[in-house]
Amino acid sequence: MKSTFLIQRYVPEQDSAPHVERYELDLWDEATILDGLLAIKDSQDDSLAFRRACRHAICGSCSMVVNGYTKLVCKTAIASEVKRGRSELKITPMRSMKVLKDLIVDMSPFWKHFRDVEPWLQPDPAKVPPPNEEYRVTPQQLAPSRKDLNCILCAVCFSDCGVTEVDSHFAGPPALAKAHRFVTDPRDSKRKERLEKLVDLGLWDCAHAYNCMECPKHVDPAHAIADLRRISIEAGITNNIGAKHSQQFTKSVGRNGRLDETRLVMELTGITNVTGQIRNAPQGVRMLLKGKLPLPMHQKVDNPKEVRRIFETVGTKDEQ
Amino acid sequence: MKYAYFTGCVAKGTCPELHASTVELAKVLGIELWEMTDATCCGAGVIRDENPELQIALNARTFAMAEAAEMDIVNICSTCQQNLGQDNRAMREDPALLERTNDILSQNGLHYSGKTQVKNLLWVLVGDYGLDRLAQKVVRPLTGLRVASYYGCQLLRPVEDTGYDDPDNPTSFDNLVRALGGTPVDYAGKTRCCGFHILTVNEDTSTKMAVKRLEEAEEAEADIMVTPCPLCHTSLDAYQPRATKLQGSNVRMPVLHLSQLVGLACGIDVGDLKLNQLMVSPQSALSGVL
Repeated sequence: MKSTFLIQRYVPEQDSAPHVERYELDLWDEATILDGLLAIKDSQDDSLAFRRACRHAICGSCSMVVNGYTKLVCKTAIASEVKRGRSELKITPMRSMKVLKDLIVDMSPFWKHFRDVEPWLQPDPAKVPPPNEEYRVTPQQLAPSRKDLNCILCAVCFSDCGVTEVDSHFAGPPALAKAHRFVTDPRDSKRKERLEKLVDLGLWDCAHAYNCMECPKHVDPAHAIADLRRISIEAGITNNIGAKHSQQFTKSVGRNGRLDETRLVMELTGITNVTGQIRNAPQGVRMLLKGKLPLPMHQKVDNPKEVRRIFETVGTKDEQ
Repeated sequence: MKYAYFTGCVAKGTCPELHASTVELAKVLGIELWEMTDATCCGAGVIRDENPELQIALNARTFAMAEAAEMDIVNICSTCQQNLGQDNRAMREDPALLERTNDILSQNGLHYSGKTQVKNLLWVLVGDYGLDRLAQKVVRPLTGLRVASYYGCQLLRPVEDTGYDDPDNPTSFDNLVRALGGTPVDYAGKTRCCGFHILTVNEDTSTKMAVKRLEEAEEAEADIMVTPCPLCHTSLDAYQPRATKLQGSNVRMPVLHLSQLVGLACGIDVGDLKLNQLMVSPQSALSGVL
């Protein structure tokens, strides 16, 4: 199968800016993108730099951006891109991390966030069995973290996350999925402390873009983050803008079935927060002038009583 | 063609021009819309964050109403598509969840068996209506107009719930632009997030994301952006003056709703499409078309 690799090349010590080099390949039909890179290195240009090791989607080394999306290239066939009508494969290094050379990035930011969530079990010493006994946990007890356990630290989701791309403070999908793994482990004794710390690390900054669902090991960080949010509200960690947004939003829908956006913004700013309301005023005036604040401000569903009945049955006391 | 029309909250709130232009477009195309005035908010993933079963029960009520009316749902918002789609699949894949949810619905005399399909307007136009048929309705071709189709993120993922296009290489929106006579432009951010869902939680990061998308479209020399979602529209258009000021950007990019763009090509009066309600005027960008 014929294909063209357009690879971003960059050696910071030598080049003023990254540039693209073109390589023509004709490989067997099942060849992976990694096979293509190795073929280029073997027979066309041995200066090309990229990470790789196991070739079996175990080590998580060969992540890079292919036609806009980060892939583990040992697991991605060239044919899968060609089938999409893209016989040209634009290959660039992962996002949100500094390029060291060609397709190799400095993964320090990834590891920093990973360390921040303390990715190790912290049991209550009083409950830890003696050294010759196991601290047992059933598969059912570990079911909530089953997907989290698959993570191979490849950073595919970290590179594809739109929030991580512009906000270096945000912990990012892999660290949060790992945090979920320990928060849901019944042996861990630091659940509440972890959850409180996660709020500072950006638990509520995920924008629900779901790019991280394209995980090569099916970890599903998006749902791990949603679950962490639920658990943190349940644990009473609600004195933060993210939890307040979630709770006020739900209450707003509970009132009449539809969201009252204007009231939600005012409530989150704080009705008595004069400085905050003044800061929001120009945006409010702009929207008013464009007819974007129609009256009545809050649309009701036809039968709000039915909605309230659902809230009374499934909603928590706070939501009703 | 007849659909249960799920407006979502924002098209009846801070994006009234979206609802108005959708209704006008449906008339011109001969698509009958039964507005679901009794449908609740889809939960936007926000209710799910706090109480997943509550969001599913609310959306099941919406599905049951459409099912009883024997219609599929058309929505005009990527977040609605994603949340309705996800909750619909959750119940289809888990009979016990469907049964539990029906117990909750029974107090309102409703039942959902799992049949309702949920489609964004883009998928209805491209898939059900058909681009050849749409092209025949074009009386004001968008000749020469460089259009940055903004798929955004939630219309495409998770693919099991939104699944009408390839999330890694979507083509439907660009094909639609071609059918209207316009020129689609390729740009880096067309499937990346606009940041809307953290606008009230982390305005700095959210506006950085929005400005990045606008600048990417500008870099590709687009005349306008077009979005199938009022939440993306809020970030990209309604908040554009504030976002660019906060982030020190000079970008200025008109952003139309999907229904406005198609309506324009189909000859609907500009006043009926409510183009005057856009924060960033598209007047000069559209001068070659109007």
